[in-house]
Amino acid sequence: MGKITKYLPSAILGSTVAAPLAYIAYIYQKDNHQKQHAILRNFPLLGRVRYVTEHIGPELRQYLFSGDNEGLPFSRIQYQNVVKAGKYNERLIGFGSNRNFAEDGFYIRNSLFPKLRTELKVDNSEKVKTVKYVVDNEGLMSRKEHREEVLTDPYYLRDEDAVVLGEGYCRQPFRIKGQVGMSAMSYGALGENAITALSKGLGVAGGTWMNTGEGGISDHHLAGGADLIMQIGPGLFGVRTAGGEFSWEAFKEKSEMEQVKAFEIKLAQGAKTRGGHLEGNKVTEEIARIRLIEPGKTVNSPNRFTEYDSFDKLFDFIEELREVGGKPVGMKIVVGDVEGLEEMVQIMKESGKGPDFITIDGGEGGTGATYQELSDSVGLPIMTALPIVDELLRQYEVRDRVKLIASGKLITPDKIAIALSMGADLVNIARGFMISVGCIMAEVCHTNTCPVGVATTDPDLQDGLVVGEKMYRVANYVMSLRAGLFNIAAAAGVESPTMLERKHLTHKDIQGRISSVGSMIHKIEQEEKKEKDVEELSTKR
Amino acid sequence: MKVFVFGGGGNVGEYVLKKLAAENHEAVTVAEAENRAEELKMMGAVDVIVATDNKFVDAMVGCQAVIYIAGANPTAGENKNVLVDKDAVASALAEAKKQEIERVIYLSPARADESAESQETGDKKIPENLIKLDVFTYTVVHASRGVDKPGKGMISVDSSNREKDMEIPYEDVAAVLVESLVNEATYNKTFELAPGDLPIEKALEKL
Repeated sequence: MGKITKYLPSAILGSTVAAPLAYIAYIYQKDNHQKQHAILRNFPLLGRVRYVTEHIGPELRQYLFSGDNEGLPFSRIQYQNVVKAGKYNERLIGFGSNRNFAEDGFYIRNSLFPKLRTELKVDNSEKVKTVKYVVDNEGLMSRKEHREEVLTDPYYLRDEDAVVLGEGYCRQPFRIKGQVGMSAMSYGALGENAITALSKGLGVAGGTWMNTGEGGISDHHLAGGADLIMQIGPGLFGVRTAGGEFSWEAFKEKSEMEQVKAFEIKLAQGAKTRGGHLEGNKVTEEIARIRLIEPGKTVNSPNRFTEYDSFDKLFDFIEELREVGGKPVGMKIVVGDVEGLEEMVQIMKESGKGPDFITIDGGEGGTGATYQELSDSVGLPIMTALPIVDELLRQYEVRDRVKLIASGKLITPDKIAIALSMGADLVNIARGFMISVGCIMAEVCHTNTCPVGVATTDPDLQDGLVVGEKMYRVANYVMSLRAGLFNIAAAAGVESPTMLERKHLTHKDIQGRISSVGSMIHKIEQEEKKEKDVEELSTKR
Repeated sequence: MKVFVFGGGGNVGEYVLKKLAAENHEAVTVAEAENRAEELKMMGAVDVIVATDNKFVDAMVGCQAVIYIAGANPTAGENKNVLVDKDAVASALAEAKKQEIERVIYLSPARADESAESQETGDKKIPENLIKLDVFTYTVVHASRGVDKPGKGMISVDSSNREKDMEIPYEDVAAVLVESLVNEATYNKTFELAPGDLPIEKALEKL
């Protein structure tokens, strides 16, 4: 006993010093002898600092070093705007804008005689019961806030202003009393908690829709009673036979579901522009049942519907889908090839066939997993793509048959209003909704290790996402966006955001000059003509 | 019963229109613009008069009661030195008398949770005194601070509610005004309305 008390202190002291020293010596040796990294061979141990700081760089930048307006895809401020709209149902800011006004960009042309609140064509006749947070007291180290049930104005469009997909062309057109909905996000890409919270939140808010993504209709999508647009990708998930062919039987079954309001064919794989790949270990029994594939087996989907390689064939397919399902059928595209698009619109005019709606995915749109080269440089950004499609449809006089849905970083009311003015009838949001259910932009969607349980199917990580909490953030976010759209409409001097047009928009360039955003195609044609003239002139010489 | 509602477009007013419709009364109200009028009809008003001034000639024809929600629209009054437009109330009362309307329910802008001194500020209490002195079968309500939370349907009309800082959902205030229309216990009474533990009908009977 005496010996232990005598030697114990020095033993503890010895091991607390000796053990780390031994470990450091081991690491030093290891770094010095490895052949992978030059910096570690030259600076053993010390070189590791580089890897550690590189790894935690995004977090350091986001929380400490980047300015409020820096950071991509969304700046700190943009992110906070979404979070606050969801949590506090609040969009007020103090002191002034953080936008960099020296840069070029679009501005809403505010009227000198804006509409009064009472002059707006809004439908707030039924309030929505939701839950929001109220801050009682905020200090440096703590924030006291409480949660309360409130009745809020949903800012629906009036019945006569509702946007209708497939009106006059299919048996069951889809009427929507709001212009903002959820972009395609599959179950599997997002976990069941996230999808359920989204479905319930959108269900509470009403006047919106949820695109299922190409991964089929899961019970989680159905959980909240939100209106669904079922997406059909080249993998034909949810509407396929065991052999991988399109199954009319499965399609009919889906089209008879009350909650399914429309179908969307995903051309060019939306923002992905690549084929899909689902690893076998992610194909659980549930996913297999939803997608109609074999459990445990890896599935590759092509980047095009193998059967449909021309507009004629595609439009015939759309006609048949509309006939069998009785519901609107649209298609999702990424714009790049303007001539190809013109051919499509021409065929629409000549054949009288075509989609009920076209979803235009801007090149800046998000995706859970794609390659850098496709994500950065394939597909035009939305504010270029959208007006081109709008103008082509008008030029060929088929605009009234088709509704346009735009997407691509449109997460705040001003961005949405600009898209609506540019020709969109509706707007899709994906990442804004992800942020509303808790996304912190860790940018690991492709790894199944999402730290906040949004873009993961890992049950432990999903445990952090409480459906009963986040669903109201979703509802508040979408209602707040609609309220913001009415604010902008009033400022622009119109009664409803459905009345926003190109003339309500102006573009300011970097030198402060303004120009109207009348016609994109006109500009393209002028450029082409100029080039041709130059060519002719040079051949004459 | 056909009821003319002043302030039908306000926080409490919207719920009054809905409750009146739900209880098979007919609500007539006033709006500032055509679009707002349409919206109030969607909420249940059978008729909405679009007016930007305070002249409602013949607007109350056929009405049997008036619910007046004062101060519900702060832009209504022209004289900003007073917090409630007493001239508007007076002309409304004159018109009501002309149409031989007996029943008037008045939600006072003087709140139950205010001090007596604060209640008098800005001539807030003058209009209700006009009503009381007149020939009407009146009910005057001083409610606690209103909030846009779901109604609970449980209230208290105790005078001990005076000057207590309590909040009451607009929906509940509206329900009390509509219930008062036919509840004889409220005739010719002035009371303080706050959240409580009695259903509305029971609580009003205690008056």
